[in-house]
Amino acid sequence: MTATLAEDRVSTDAASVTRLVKTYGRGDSTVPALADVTLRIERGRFTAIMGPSGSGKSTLLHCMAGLDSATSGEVRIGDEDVTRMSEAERTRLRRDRLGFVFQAYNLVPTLTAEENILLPSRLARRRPDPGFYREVVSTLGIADRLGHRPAQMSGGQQQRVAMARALVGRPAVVFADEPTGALDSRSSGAVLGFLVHAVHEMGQTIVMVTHDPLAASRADRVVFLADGYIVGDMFDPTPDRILDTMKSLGG
Amino acid sequence: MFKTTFRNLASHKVRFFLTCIAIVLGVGLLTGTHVLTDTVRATFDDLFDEVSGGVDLTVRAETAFENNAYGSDRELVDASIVDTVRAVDSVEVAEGSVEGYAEMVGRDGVAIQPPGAPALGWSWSDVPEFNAFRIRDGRPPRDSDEVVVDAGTADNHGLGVGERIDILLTGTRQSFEIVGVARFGEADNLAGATVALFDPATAVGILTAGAGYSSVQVKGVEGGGLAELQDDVDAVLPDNLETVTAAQLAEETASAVTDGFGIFETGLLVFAGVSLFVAGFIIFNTFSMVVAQRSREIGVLRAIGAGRRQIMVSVIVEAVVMAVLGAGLGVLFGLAVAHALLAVFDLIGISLPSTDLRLEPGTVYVGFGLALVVTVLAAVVPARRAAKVSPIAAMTGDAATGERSPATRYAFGAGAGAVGAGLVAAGLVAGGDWALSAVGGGAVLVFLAVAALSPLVARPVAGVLGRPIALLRGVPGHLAKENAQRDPRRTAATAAGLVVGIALVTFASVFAQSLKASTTGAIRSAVRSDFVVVGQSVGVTFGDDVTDRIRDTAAVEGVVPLRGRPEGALWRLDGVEKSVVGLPADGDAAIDLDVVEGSFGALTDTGVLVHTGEAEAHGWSVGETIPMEFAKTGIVDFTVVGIYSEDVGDMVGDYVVSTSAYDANFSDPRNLGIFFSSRAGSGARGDTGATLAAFPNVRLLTLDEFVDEMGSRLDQMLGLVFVLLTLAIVIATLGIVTTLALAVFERTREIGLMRAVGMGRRQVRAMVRWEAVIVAVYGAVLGVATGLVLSWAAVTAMESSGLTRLVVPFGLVGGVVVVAAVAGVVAAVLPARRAARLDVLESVAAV
Ligand SMILES: Nc1ncnc2c1ncn2[C@@H]1O[C@H](COP(=O)(O)OP(=O)(O)O)[C@@H](O)[C@H]1O
Ligand SMILES: [Mg+2]
Repeated sequence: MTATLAEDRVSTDAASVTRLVKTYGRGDSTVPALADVTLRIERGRFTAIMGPSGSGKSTLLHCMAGLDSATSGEVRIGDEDVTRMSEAERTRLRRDRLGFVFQAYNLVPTLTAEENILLPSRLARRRPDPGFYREVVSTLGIADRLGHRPAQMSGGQQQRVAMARALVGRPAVVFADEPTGALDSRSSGAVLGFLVHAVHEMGQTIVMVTHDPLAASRADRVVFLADGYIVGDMFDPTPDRILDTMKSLGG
Repeated sequence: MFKTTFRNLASHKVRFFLTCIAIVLGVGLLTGTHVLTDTVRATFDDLFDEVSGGVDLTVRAETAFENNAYGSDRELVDASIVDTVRAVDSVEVAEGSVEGYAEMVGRDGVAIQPPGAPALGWSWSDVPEFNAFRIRDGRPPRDSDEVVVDAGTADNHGLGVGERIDILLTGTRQSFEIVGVARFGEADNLAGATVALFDPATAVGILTAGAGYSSVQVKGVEGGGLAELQDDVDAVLPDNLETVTAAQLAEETASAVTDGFGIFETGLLVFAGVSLFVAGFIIFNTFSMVVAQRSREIGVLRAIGAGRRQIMVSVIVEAVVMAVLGAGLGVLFGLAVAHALLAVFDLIGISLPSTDLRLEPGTVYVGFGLALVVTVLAAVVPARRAAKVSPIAAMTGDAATGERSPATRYAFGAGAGAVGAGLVAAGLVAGGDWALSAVGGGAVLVFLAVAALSPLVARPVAGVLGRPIALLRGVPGHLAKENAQRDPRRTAATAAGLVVGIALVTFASVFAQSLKASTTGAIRSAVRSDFVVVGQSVGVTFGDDVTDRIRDTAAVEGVVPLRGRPEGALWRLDGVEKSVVGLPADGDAAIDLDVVEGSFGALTDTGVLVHTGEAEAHGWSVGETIPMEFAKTGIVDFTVVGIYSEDVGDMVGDYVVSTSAYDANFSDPRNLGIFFSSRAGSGARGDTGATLAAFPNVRLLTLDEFVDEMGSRLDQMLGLVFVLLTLAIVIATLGIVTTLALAVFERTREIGLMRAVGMGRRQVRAMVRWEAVIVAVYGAVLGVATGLVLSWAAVTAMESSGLTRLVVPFGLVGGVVVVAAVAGVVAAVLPARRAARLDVLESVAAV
């Protein structure tokens, strides 16, 4: 019975979270950031996580990505149990199987765009598939920027380089924490377009935290968080429906 | 405003501590040196005051100048003078005393040669006021067969009352019975010298060959004034004799003994100077980085109305606090250093009576003063940079740390470099009193110049050094290279400490090796003898009895004694001290000095051979008369009979007189070496070996062995250099630690990002470590280059003084680079660990 369930997961889920609890602090001053979260992230889907500020979005993302340890519960990436991993194993997991895009400051300033993109694979002493690398770079429109350092690029260009880095290793999941939060609307539209493209054309799985309904509406599914609980789960969202849900959550 | 200053200091204890350490070391060495010399001086002042307290006056022959650390060369006082002085009404007691050479032979048959101190023989006095020695065991010497030895020698060599001991005297070796062991005042020995005490009649016979007394000690009648006593005694003395009071004599002796610590003192002060200089760079670097990191905070302060002046003052105040605390700790550390050095003296056999350490106010002022000057000077530029931070930095977070005109700095660098190198060269050529200041000042200028120009080459050189690391070590290596190239000014300042230390090491070792090669080459080509007899240890002299015995050996020919003193037999030319050696007129059979004008054989009682360098400098040619002033005999006119061009270093030096002239003008007719050859086909070594068995104070060397030994003397210089290297590298490593720790802090976010995308802790550590290695090796490379340029300048400048070869010890230079790389690895340990332990999430979120 358990075996079938596990196999089932392997076949469909890129990542899953079961009864995840995360509390910060100790003794009297504990803050429950995640109360009891169970969530399955399907392969090849673009999932957005929304919720009011302080609802636990980033914490959930960090726990799923092996950047933070859970207080209790289970986190799986594919068939690997992240909660049981040592620090070194989690580092390897992030390097080999995950991709990241942060809100800002995504790139190492001393490295060129190309070196930044290839950083995880070079840390692993691997060579990425050159054909796919060229495809990603040209799709993102940064082919002529590869020799530049971050300081010579605009914010939008930097985010596109960060996305290339996240995508080029064909990770199990790409995690993005407010990737458009620091961009103007034009750049953010472009970045979102590339994320959608990666999911639909390249089969990439993406989990994105955002508080922008417009951004969330580009996803296939929106998960709503409030006070550390999942309070809503919407498929094929539109901006209006998202806004309504947010309002009902008192956001 | 100042509240922020102190809060800053308090919240960065580790950084503060690291930055302070260099000041603490520098001030500590400075203080330690001064405390040591003050203590030693005070100790000997007390000692000699005490031991000569009973002597009112000492009568002795006049001397032209003090030419010997343990009493100048003087004519002897005729025995009849004792009676003349006794006849003076105001004199109560007068007694002749003798001192001379007496070297004891240990039970093992080896001569007891005190390191860096003489082997003395003295006459025993039964007048307690005239005798510094107090019998500890046994009794005073009464008979020509009896001797009393100093407690230090007795204890160190297991000698006791009742035993017999052989003593080497000028020209003979005699056996005595030890009847007593005596202490010198409160001490076991006299600053490391060995002393054998004989009864007065015996002493005159064996120490001065019955020719008279070294001095006459006088005590006045009860209640008489010292001035009248001196007048009365002076009135009856012949012109060539003088009287000195006990106080004068005590001071003369004490300062002569403490002057012996001079080289040691100079060495320590150089260390202290290097520490403080390097401390300046560390402070400069730390403050620059801290100011850059705090630019947002400074911007906020500026935005709410703090003036530029206030910002600048707050940074300077932070520097002052650092200097004061560092200097305070440094003074304490200095006391510990002085303690340790006194313990070392005790270990090597220099006994000092127990005394409290002397911390003079002047020492403290100098320590604090220098610390303040160095720190504030180093903080001025960062402080001005801080003052220039605009209020807008509060929003943007970046300070305009760019320099307005690097051209000024480069111009300064070029100018300072040229002037500095010139000063070093000039100082080395000129010699004399100001030479050390010129060389030192020149070196400081050169280092400032290198520091100013270093940012110009830091980026490309770090790139070249980093390339192999990037290739071999993958991403961490690549990032290390990029980080090292990131801020050339910072890399340059971080490496500055190593540059200074390694440049000094390179300079000293190239200089020493070149000197060694030049000197040993010259000795090999000049010396024609097969064998050389030398003292038991390097630079110890021995009597002419050895020469006579060798001459008597059948299979030997061309026996040539070389008269001289290890520290140089000094004479004066118009007040300038020079040294001379004595050789017989047929000496060129053994030592060919390559006489280019005149002849060696013309060496008469008033003839002198002069080296071409000196002859040219003074415009002398053969026939010229030189007024040579000797301590013992005053001015004696010598005629230049020959000019020679061979440079054999100290072995011969620049002036040669005849053996008889040497003996007439110096008190000790002793030899540095005896050169001879074996007659064809004879086993000279075997024969002379047997002959020399009676002289435990000498050794027989082949020419090759002799050349090696002369060379190895210079190697000892290198020993000192390695101490310097160690110290310089320790301090420089501290500088790298501080900068790296600050850099890790500065790059928190970047490190967090790399950790998030999969960089392992080990890789983070490797990245920091390799950066440290690149910076350290950069410092080593620049240091070696600077050192090579300096030594090239020095060797070129000194070519006419016999420095004919430039030898670069590649092995040592390579070793230095490796040591620097290792220092980099060590320096990186803590910052790397800190970087690896950074929490990924907090780092990514860090602003
Ligand atoms: N490192 C931390 N220490 C203590 N509390 C934290 C920490 N990180 C987050 N929190 C708390 O956990 C809750 C969820 O935070 P977060 O996941 O960052 O929310 P969101 O990203 O939805 O705004 C908040 O109440 C926050 O204050
Ligand atoms: Mg968040």
